[in-house]
Amino acid sequence: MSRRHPKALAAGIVLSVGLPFLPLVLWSLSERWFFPGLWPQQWGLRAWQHVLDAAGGQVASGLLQSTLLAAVTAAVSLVIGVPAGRALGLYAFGGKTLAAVLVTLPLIVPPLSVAMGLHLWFIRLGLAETFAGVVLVHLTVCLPYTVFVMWGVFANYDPDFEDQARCLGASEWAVAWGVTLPLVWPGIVVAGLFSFLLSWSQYLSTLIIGGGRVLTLPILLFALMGSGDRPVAAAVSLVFVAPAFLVLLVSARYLGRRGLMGVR
Amino acid sequence: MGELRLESLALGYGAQPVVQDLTFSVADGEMMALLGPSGAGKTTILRAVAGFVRPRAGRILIDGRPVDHLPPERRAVVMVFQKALLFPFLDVAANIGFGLKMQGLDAGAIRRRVAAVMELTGLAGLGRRKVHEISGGQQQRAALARALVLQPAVLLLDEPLSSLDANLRQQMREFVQQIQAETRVTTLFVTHDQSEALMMSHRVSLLLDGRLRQTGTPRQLFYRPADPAVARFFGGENFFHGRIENGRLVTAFGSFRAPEAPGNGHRPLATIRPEDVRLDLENGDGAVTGEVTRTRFEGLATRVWLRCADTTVVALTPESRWTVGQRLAVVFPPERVRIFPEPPEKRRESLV
Ligand SMILES: Nc1ncnc2c1ncn2[C@@H]1O[C@H](COP(=O)(O)OP(=O)(O)OP(=O)(O)O)[C@@H](O)[C@H]1O
Ligand SMILES: [Mg+2]
Repeated sequence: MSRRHPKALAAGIVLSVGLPFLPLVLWSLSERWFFPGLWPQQWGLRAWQHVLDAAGGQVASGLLQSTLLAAVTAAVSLVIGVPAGRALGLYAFGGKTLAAVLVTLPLIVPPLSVAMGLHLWFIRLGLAETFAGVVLVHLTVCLPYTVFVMWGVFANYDPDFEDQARCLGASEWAVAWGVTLPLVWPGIVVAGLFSFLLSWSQYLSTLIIGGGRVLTLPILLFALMGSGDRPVAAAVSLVFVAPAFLVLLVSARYLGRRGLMGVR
Repeated sequence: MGELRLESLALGYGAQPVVQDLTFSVADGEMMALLGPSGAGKTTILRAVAGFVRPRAGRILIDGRPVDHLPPERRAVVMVFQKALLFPFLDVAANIGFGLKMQGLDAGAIRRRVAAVMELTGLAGLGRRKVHEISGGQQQRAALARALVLQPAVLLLDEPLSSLDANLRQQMREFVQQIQAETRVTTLFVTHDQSEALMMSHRVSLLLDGRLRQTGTPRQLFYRPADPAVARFFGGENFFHGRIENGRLVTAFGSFRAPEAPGNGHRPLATIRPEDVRLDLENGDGAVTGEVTRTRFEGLATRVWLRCADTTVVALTPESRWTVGQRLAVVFPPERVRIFPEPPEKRRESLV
């Protein structure tokens, strides 16, 4: 069916993914919209003007802050998660099960407890209300996912490729850069994307550790929502979703084109 | 240029020993087969030569110089694995040029040498293809080309043909042999297929139970096996003890003229290959006789089991006319009877 009707399939996907966003778009463009009307009674651009003009500076800095934070978190979680996933996927060693449990632990403990627990320590260490502190607390969520994704990638990876490259004259460094990296690149893209999006959508942990000093887009969004102005909240939501959606779209296309390589 | 020499090499993983006291050399320009059953440690030996497995004892020398301290990329040894292991993110030409690029050659020189080796290996015109867009046989040839283009001192081939179907494998055997003859690259070629080893190599080293049993020309291993295990590996049957008396081998079921007999009084172990046993209708002139107990048609030949006194003799004959119950004359042509050198402790025993 997907082979015969690619357009129908694509339309179906776009509809099912995009439909939930329709009310948001409508809300952001409404001036007045009362129950039980199916459409807004009055259309207008007030919300967008507010978001882009009055609160524009705030939104822009929130956007920057969120992007920076998510990028740094994703980078750090890859730097740690790729070697960890490689060790778990390729080598047998004592305490492997324990390592797996420890990696999973932050995922099953409620994020609130993690953030609250860390908060005290971070205050003592001077990490509370800092960018680095927020990166660290985001890592408790992002790192486990990265490790798991890379674990799976390396479990299907053939290390003979590396030996082959070595005896063809590649140094250890050249092998890591020129062979291993391209072979696991799609996995790295997926893991990095996961981390980026997870960090992007963090609210509670950012609020607790950042203490209102690290103003990411979600923090801003909740503040604006709290004011009870629905059209504005809807517009901010769309601003919030758009970059993430874009990242997802680009990488999905990229992965679809390349597929996973280097598997046995 | 490249003479490979292994001296008293011991290899293993963790507590498990794999190979002990391995000594042999591959001469410059020679193709040697390293033959042994699955799990004998053949791959482990190649990995040690390439520098991926650290020997527990012994030395590896290339052109007389020890290479044990060198990392794999500086040994001038290239290994071709069982799987072609072509890098999927590079096209065929870039795969073949990979090693040259690592050496820092400029693009023009790489292109020229890759084109030349692709010509040699019959891959001309496939350079721009993706790795999965060429056939399995072409992939193996590309893997070989990728190694050959570096003109290594020693080429290691780890059963590179075993993943191919029978027809293609036969073609590739001839192809590899021809390429080796043309390039004269010193080659150590691993296989568990005895006929492959015999037909492809100048010399064969047979590895059994972690030890090198015999090194020699294909004919030597086949016709003059060093011990019964070597003979059995090459399909040998009919092992029997005998006694040497006046140049004859006297066995429980009769006596035969023995060509290479040691002196009187020895009680050696002897063997004759089943295809060397001659069968004939009995003519009553006192030769050794046996009764056919079983026959099995095998295509090119028929295998016949005979009861000679208390011993079973197996013969492989082109004729398929023998039937169970027949009494036949059994002839061992003397030049085909192999008398094993007695191990030292056995000899002492027989002297007592
Ligand atoms: N990485 C490893 N760790 C531990 N033991 C290993 C490892 N690789 C091989 N072995 C063991 O060493 C022995 C020799 O293995 P090797 O792969 O060298 O055999 P082989 O002769 O190449 O066999 P085959 O013909 O099946 O390829 C085997 O018993 C194997 O189980
Ligand atoms: Mg092997």
